[in-house]
Amino acid sequence: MMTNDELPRRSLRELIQGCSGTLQDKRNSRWFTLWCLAWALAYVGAHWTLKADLQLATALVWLLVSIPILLMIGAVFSYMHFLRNADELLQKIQMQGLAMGFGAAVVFVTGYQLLEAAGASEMQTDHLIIVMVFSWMAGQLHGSWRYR
Amino acid sequence: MALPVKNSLRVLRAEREWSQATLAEQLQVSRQTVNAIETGKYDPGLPLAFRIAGLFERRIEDVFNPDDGKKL
Repeated sequence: MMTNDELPRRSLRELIQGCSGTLQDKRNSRWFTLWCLAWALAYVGAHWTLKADLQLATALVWLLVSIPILLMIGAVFSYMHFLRNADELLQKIQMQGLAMGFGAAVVFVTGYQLLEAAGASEMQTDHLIIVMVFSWMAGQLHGSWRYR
Repeated sequence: MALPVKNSLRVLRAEREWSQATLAEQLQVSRQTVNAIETGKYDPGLPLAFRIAGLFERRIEDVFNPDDGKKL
């Protein structure tokens, strides 16, 4: 029977991704999310500890700095694995999101440099990351709407 | 400029009385991909196009045609 043709209700994450993908995509996406969560926890923990001025040994400082970096490298590799094995429509939507994120970063950095020359306060790297992540998500939402 | 492509995927699927989910499972893609191909919003890559043609035991040009009025 030709049933079940209506689009099913999708979770917010699926909507942001633009396409729920196959079971393998969902599994890979979950791994990526776990890597990002682990990085976020390690980053906040390391940041808080380093700012607390606890007179830590140099080796411990290096360890605190290294763990979030290694976790983020893991997250990047996890995302690349997800993207390489993703359903082809999902790949297209993700690439569109990445292009939008990269493009927004270039516009933001070059635009802000001009603002700095005009007297604005110095650019914070946090702001650049926020711009990239939100543009990446906007690109995925646009793709989701385009291929809905 | 991209060449618009028409396909007969919905008709072929209807002949077999398959749902989009069933077809997606057999092609190992998402149901949204099947829906996007059927509605002409997305043209599949060659490997997927060959898998579709193979699944329905047709030649690829029997499933996909350039949307310029001419049949290959």
